Amino acid sequence: MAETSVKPFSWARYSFLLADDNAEFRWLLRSVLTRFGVQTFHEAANGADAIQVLHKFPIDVALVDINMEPINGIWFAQMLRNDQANKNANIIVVMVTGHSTPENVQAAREAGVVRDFVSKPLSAKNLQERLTRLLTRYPGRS
Amino acid sequence: MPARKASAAPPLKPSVNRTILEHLPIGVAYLKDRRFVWLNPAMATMFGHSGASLIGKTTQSLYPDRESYQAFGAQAYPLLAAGKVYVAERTMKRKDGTLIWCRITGRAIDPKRTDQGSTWIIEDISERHAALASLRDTRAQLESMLDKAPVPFVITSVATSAVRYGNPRAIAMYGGPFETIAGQPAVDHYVDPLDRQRMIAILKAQGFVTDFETRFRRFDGSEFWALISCIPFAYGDEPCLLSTVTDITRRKEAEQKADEAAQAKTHFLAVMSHEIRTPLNGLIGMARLLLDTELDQHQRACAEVIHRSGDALMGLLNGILDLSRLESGRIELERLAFDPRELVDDLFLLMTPTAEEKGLSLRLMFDPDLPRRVVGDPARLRQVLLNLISNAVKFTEKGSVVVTVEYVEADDDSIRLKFSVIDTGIGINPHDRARLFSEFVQADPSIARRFGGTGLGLAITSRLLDAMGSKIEVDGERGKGSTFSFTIAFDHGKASVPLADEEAQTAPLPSLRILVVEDNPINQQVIVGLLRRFGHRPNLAGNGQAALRAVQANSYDVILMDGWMPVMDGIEATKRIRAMPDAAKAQIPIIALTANDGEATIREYLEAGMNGFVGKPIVPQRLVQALAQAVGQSTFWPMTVAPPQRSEGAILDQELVAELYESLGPETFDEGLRRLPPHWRELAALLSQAARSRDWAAVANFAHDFKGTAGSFGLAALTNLAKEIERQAKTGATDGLGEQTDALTDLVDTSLLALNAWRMDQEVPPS
Repeated sequence: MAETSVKPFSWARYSFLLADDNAEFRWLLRSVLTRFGVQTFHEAANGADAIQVLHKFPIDVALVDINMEPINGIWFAQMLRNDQANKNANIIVVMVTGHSTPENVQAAREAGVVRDFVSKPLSAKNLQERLTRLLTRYPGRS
Repeated sequence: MPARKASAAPPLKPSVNRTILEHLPIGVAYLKDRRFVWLNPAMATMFGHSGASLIGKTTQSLYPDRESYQAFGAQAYPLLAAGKVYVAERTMKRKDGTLIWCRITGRAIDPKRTDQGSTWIIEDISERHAALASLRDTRAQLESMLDKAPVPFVITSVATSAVRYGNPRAIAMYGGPFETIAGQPAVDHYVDPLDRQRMIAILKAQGFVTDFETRFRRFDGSEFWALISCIPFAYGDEPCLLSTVTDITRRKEAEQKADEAAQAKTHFLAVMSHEIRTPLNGLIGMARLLLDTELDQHQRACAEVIHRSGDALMGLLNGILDLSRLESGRIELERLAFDPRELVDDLFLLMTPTAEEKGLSLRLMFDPDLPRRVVGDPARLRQVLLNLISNAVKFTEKGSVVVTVEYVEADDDSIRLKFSVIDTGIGINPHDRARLFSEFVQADPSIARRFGGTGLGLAITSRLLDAMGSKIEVDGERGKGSTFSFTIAFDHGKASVPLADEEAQTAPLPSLRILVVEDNPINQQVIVGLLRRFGHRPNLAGNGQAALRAVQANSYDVILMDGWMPVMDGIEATKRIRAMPDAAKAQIPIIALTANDGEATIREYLEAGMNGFVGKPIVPQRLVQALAQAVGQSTFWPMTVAPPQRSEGAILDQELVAELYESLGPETFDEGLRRLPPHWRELAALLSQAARSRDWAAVANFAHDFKGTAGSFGLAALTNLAKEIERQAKTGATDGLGEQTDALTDLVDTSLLALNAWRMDQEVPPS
């Protein structure tokens, strides 16, 4: 796989969407990301709200919980695929799962938009590694 | 000299003629007008007259009376005049008045000239006639006897089976008048003609036939069961069979009904076995679990009684069911290695208290040559000995009970040991010994009342011994005590035979995620309780289909699968799991939970893909063994993206919390410590509420909410419990969920204590 040019990056440059129906978990994510250096946050408690955010603001990374109600993470991803109004077609979507099952993984992959998975309980180190890897290859907003 | 007429043949000399006539052994006479012209000496002698006295007289004096003389004349002479020979048999009278049967043949000299006279031959046939008459008499006598007999009698020819005689009963049984039967071959009435041949073979072998059963067909085509007895019999001059034939159709039907009833009983008992055992297992299992909890003295005493009663009931049930299975021959013996001395010692310990209470001395005597290890069925041997020893103690008021084990002999394949139980009790007289072993009978009903007991023990014992190739011997007599003994041939122990009391020498297992597939709620509770006690994390599925969904949704280390469940049974579910495309899931070890299943069923389980089996009622050690085996054999790693769980039993995952502390920094961490506990407590309360109102969807959601935050803070136990609650709520295995949600609330407090304690340990003091 050819590497795109690796740029040193600064977390502060990217805007994040945190989509999870649990407010405390959003707090946790936010706190951890803040410690990485992220400064721009948007939050949503369900998939529909999350789509609205994407229409309004250009988002670089979306951390989406698979298990939200009524619109869960997978539907969100599927809706996003065909979404013309998405402000950033290059958006990095990372699915946050309680446990991954083959069906979930498969469904998420088929949606096309999801780049990676992170599971709960949250491991800050793990999150950092994965996001770093993704962001170093990120071509930037479309 | 007057001229002679020429005759056809050359004339004999008169003297020769005369000689011939004089010496004919038959009476000959020449009559004219029914008067004697000439008669030979034989004729005269036959009738006791002198020849000379009859010349010129009529034949009337030879007739019994005037009427018969005239009747004869009226019949005979017209025929003579017609040129015919007249033959008749009739009685004639001798000079002394006796009557003789004679055969009379007469012929006219010249039919056209009656004046020429007639010649007559008279033969004495008295003897033959008497014989015939007597024959006819005997037959008549026999027939008159048989006619009156209340049993169907038939006389048939041996050679052709032609019916010579049938009495009214027989005729009614065949369903036809005698005229149609007479002379007809009786063999036609046999549904299987070969049966008649078989019967005659028996007849030839032993000279008679009794109680030969065969099927007969009546004239109207209907069939019936016939019981035949017969003897060879000369009927007149023909070799015949004299047979009685009885219709036993009713008796046969009764026999068949009895057979069917016996089979139905056995089947019923087998079915009831399962039905009764299930709640009983639950009772015993629950009692055991209860006894494992903290109880005060009174509660413990009650629980122990419950447990013991359950055990006793199970024992009784097993006794009844064992007996029925023994009767239907469906017992399979084990092959296990054991120490015969140890087995008897165990029983000794068991029976000593009872014996001591009665003031009896209980003693053991072992042959010094006893082997330390034989192969057989120790459980059943124990059952037999226990029954005999406890009977001996029961029926002995004073004195002793001695149990001996003797070495009888050995060869390459086997070793024979003789076990005896000798008591100084009331004894049994030889009469009653046979009855001893039939169910429900003890030698004397009054004894049964005095000493109690169901009487099943000896019946089972004798059948068990039967199955082991042995039989019980009883010695002794009334008032002098009894000796019960039996000899069994055991196999020599080979290394490959498992030890009967092998302890589960396994290292403690890590906490496993176990899917329990079982439809009965009581069994579910027992198994889940057991598994939790061993530190595992059980989930429940109520049938095969639910199991499939659970396996697809979650990851398990082992599956415990009940064989028979509604909707989809264990075998079907196993096959489907093994066919799953995801290799890791397809290979999950599956252990079958079997209740009284026979060898054939267990083979089916293994063929479907199960890895092992554990019998119900579940013996905790066996379950642990099976789990250890299953996991040891498994190359399956749980498929999660989460970091591997460390020290699952622990409240706090130190690594995780340290990581978070590092990532967040002390300040933010402490902020979390302020925000999250109220959040968690609230969640726990909502969870409990939802569980109580049985809103399982809500329970699943709330449980899910724990995972993200509590897990990230390293609250391992709390997270695991929440995960488990979520899974249960989602898969519908909601029994016992209420208690778990309550447990969660406690766990929140415990976890917070641990978390705060950990925080205090860190270098930077909390803000």
